[in-house]
Amino acid sequence: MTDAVLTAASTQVLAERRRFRMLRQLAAHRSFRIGLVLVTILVLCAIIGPMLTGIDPTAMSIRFRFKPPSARFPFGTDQYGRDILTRVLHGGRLSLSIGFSVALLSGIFGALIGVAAGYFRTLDPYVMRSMDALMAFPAILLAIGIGAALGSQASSIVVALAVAYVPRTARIVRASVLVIREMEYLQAARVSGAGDLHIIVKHVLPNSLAPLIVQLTFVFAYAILAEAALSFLGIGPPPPAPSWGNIIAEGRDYSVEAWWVMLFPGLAVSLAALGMNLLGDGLRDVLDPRLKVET
Amino acid sequence: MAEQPLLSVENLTVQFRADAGWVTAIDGVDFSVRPGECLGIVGESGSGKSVSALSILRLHSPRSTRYASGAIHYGGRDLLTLPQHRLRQIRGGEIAMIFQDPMSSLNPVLTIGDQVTEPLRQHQGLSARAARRQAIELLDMVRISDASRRIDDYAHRLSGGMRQRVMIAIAVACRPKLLIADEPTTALDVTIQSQILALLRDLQREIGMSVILITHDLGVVAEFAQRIVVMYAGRVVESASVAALFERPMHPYTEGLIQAVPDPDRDVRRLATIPGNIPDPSTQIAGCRFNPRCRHAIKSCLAERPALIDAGAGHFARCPPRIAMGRIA
Repeated sequence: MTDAVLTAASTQVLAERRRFRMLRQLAAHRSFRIGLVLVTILVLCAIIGPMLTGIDPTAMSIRFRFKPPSARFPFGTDQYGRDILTRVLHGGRLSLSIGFSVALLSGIFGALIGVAAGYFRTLDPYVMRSMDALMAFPAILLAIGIGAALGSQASSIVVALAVAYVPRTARIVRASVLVIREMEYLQAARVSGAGDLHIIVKHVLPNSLAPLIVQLTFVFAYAILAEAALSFLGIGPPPPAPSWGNIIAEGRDYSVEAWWVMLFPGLAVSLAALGMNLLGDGLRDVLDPRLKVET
Repeated sequence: MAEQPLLSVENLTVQFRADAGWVTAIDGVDFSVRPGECLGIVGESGSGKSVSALSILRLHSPRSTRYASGAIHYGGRDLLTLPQHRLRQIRGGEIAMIFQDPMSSLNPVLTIGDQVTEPLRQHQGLSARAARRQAIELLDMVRISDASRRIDDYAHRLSGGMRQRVMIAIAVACRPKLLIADEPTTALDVTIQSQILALLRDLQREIGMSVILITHDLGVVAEFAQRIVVMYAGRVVESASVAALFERPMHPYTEGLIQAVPDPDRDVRRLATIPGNIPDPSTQIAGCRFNPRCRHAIKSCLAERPALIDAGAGHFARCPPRIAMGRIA
């Protein structure tokens, strides 16, 4: 009796140790590390940064218009004399949360739609043809349309971008579900009496999770870029609240005289996109147990 | 001998949707399994043995499959008309199944333990801890060494033979009354094959379950089964006890199969073969479906569909001319 308890306890420990192995592999993955560092820095800056500088990102000052980067204004100031550093830090909050929300929303709906289409084959033609119809519009154009219809505010940008990226995500999920549903382990699960829901939750979703997560890191990156593009085109989150996109948009008229207004938010956007992409690559390599090397 | 069969398939006809209407994959198949017995189903690829097996648990895609006639009696019910939720209780609980390819029968993202405990939790409602303990016992039972460690491994760390053992552990987890083994050793090499068969035999004895063993390897059934059903082109052509079938095959097809087995004691340059291929299920063949390949075909073979005839002592064959000859002799 105590023996059985003992072995049960020791196998529990072993199981936990194996869970950690995935984390160790991630930690050893170079591009994942770089991506993680980049993203972490940007996220921390967005969270803590505004508290540290203690400056109002919308406070204007005629005296300090278009000051180039200096000790007092490390990133310079814009046409209203607002501190670019503060605005970039604040803008990060908005841009990153838009990116995150878009990734989350398109992940949830993409997974639902993709699994429905891939698993229940009768639904497939209807679901996927409507996804194709959505996909026929360029993502930005679609987002412009939806954003314009919903009015320019952060939440409508999120909805617009999510609608634009759901079809792509659904497609990827569907493709992996199509492969998984032919696997004998699904047949085996059905033989042991599992129902559709159980099979989807326990077998189909976990197996399609790796490509989905990887796709979502890219959606995150695209969403940040697209937010910038939409703001640039004038349908992003409205000023004066800063987002990376609308700082760039406001700076574009003065890009020759005051390059710093566009440069720093632009750098932030690029670094965020790069970081998420590297993160995604690393996750893809490690998450898939079939690619795992024996240790 | 007059024991009630555990499961009996009667006059089962299964059709699949094809481009040009419905194609009959198996046509009026009958067989039964008695409690504790091992029934072998043999036949070449495309003869309908797997289709019959999958039909027992209604595992064909419902959209493209039609059970045109017949019944599958099990425990006083017909599995073909059983409501879905009742069927799910039988699957894995009372009737379990293992497949040909152990490499893809295990989910790569779940640990062995997750998959062995699944039927235990599903059918017996065990707690996670109790299921785990029992899973370790099951892995021990299928002779996986160091089971308490292996249980947390993923499938890719196991060899083909080990994976088939895990599949067997999953299948027998709820001590089923019937195990359907669809070519369980085809994908394995010969030494592993005999280990797996020995394991199946021991488990069968221990649990007292019946086994339906589907294979195209006559050697495997000869060793393992008590009775054999030979299928050809979607029909049962012969069924008999192992001894009777090997000593006195009635159907020319069975005879051909037995002659095609290499015999190490005889020096034979060329193995006997059966000329031709199994017909495509969509082609219509009048009379006996084997007649284009049969050396003994006579006029009546081309015209009338032969019936499965009792040749005495539980030996059935679908070849009236041969049986008539046998009676005279």
